[in-house]
Amino acid sequence: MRKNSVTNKLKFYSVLALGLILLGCFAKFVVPFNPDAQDLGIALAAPNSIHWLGTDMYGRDMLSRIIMGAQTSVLATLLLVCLVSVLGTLLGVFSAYKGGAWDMVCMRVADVCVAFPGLVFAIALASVLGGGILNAVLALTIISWPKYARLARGQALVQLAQDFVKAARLDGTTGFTLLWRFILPNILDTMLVTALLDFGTLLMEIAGLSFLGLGAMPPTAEWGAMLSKGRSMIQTSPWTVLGPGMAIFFAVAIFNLWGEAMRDYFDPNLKRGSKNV
Amino acid sequence: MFNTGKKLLAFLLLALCIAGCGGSNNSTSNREKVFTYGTIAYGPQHNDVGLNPHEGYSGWSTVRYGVGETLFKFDDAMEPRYWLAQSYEQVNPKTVKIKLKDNITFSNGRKLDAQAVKECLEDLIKVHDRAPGDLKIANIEAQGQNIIITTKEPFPALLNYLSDPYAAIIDMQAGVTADKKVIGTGPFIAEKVSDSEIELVKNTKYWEAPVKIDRVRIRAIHDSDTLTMALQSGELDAAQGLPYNSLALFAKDKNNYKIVSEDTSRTFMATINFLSPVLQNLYVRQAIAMGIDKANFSKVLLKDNGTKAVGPFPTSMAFGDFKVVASKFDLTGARKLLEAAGWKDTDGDGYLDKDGENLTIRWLTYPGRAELPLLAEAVQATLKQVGIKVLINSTANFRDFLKRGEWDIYANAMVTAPTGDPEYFFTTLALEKSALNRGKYVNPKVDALGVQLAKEFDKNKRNALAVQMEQQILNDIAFIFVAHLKMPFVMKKIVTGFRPHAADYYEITADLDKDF
Repeated sequence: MRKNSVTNKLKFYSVLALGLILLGCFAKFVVPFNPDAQDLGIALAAPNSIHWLGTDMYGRDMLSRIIMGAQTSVLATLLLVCLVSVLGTLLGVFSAYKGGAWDMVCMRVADVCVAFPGLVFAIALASVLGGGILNAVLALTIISWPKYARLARGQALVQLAQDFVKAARLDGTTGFTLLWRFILPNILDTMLVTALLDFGTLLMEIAGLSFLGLGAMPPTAEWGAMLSKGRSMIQTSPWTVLGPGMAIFFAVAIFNLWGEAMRDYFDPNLKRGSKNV
Repeated sequence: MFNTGKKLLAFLLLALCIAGCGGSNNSTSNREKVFTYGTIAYGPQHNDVGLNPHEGYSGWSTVRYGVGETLFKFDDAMEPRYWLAQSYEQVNPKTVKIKLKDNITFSNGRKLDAQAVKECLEDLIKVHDRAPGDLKIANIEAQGQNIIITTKEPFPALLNYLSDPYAAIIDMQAGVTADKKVIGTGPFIAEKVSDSEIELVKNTKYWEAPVKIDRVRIRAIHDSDTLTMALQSGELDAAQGLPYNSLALFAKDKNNYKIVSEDTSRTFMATINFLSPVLQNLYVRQAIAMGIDKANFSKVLLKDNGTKAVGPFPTSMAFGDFKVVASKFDLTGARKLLEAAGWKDTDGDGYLDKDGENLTIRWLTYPGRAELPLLAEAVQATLKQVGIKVLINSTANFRDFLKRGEWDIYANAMVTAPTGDPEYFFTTLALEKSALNRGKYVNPKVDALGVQLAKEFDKNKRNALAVQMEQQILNDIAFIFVAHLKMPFVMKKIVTGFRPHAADYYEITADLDKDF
């Protein structure tokens, strides 16, 4: 009964999250207006039957920009999550397998990256690299991979001590094959759940960099940048802030809940259908 | 014993509550009248930190905040009038004799005489970056209350330049403290100065009128939303530099706030980089000028707090906008010019290209004035319609980009006639040897007119020369002038005697008061 509920929850949030990603992919074809087209004659128009979420200070349709913002914000976050999880996992697993100097160097580099306050380091890095959403992704990748590397290393060490791995080694399996066939499949669910749970946080961090002017560059529609532009009008034209603010809120909530549903799904107790869960 | 302890605890809590309730921002225990002013215009990014007028643009702070005064002061029409000076006589084209008022003392009690002025001006032309070139002073002579200034060449605009805030008279014998405090003749005395805050107390010996406010706190708040909220919360008595979007909030709350505005010669303008290969073509420059919608920028984005500009000076000046013409907003015409210059969209990406390169402009600006990024984005949209790709770089670090030449167009907001005279603009920006000729614009005709302007004493002829120079730089599209700013001060209704000035640097005066 409980397992069905978990599966349904996972399906529900998967549909929402994948829907959001698809919206980002096909935003260009969905937007009712050109999101970059300015019409100063209708600047700061309140929500109405034509512009459902109103217009911004340049007369751009807010709904179109929010939809287009999904492309920038969600897809950039997806890219970031893929980069940090794949890079971190590979480095962590390889460190665990090789041990010795490789392990020490890799973990000390991770320690150095972790020692900096995350967002502050990203801001400094984005300042050096210059603005732009790809530079923001790169900056956040540099500070976010150690978490995955450490987690993957720990998980891989546990797996390497397992009897089936020892048996595989005795059988002559080493190197890439060992990692690919025996280690990675057994840590994948943990890494996947961690990545999904991080999706919301990383989306917020990308939006934060754009809010500070270090992420998406004008006229690119990005939720954090839109929030930043609208903040001086929060009292006079609140729709310029509410739209992107709600978009960030819902996107973060959906991905967090999706991550939690995924975690519950992979929970071994639930897999066994334990009544103690 | 237990009861006594409880009573003591209750007493302590009561005392803490009372202490917590007291000491508001605007009053002190001895019922001082305190005026707290928030501004975006003070700080390192404006190069006006401290009160030493002989350093960068700090003279603006000296005069703005009522610490120092100049020999002459501009009236509302930007004509120089006497301030510390009582009279003057043009002895010959190179020599001016200025008589000082007799009743003036510095805030430390030292009498203001010609010797004090000589010491101050000599230090100014020794250490300041712009003043020696501007003032062209060869010799200064002090005779009691008379100061005789001889210039290296005939210099018709000397009085205007002596009204520049860098010529604020300070007591050089008292010197400049490590935290950049000076002794001036103004209605206020500096008590504390830092990069973000100035605290002033009233000069009880002020020569012109009794000072009504006891203490003034100047707070640099560069985030315009923070500034808005600080004024709304009552933390500030007045603010300068509020975003135009916020003005409506205060305009509708007439019971508590008032807004006083003034037309200024602060101009939103764009400087063309003539070292940029793509901008060396006149057609491209002209197309850019035609692709900027100045009217809508002033009306919509500045919320009518600016007027569409033609040239560098507003219409209120005799040599202002009504005398010159510039390219009009015309996207179709701009596109035709670019096609005539050989630019075509061969790859269908919406941007014009030549030799495989898109027509791309690096637009450099800074966020210190909230309207500049708005201008950048508005220009980006209209130029995109023409086929020009605009890459915006809005950064507080803009000076480094300027130094490195990593820009094609630099947009800023500048007071084009701070001395009420047109010569300043040209000598600062538009002549071959101008200190701030960032775009390396050179036109021998403009330079020759500049030489004539520097020698011409007749006001009408000066104006006519200035108009010719303006028209020439507009024909060359060396600069694009977008809008002249109307500067609003927003203040609590109880504040009186506080208003902006066309010069942009007279703010705190002895008239400032709070009428409870």
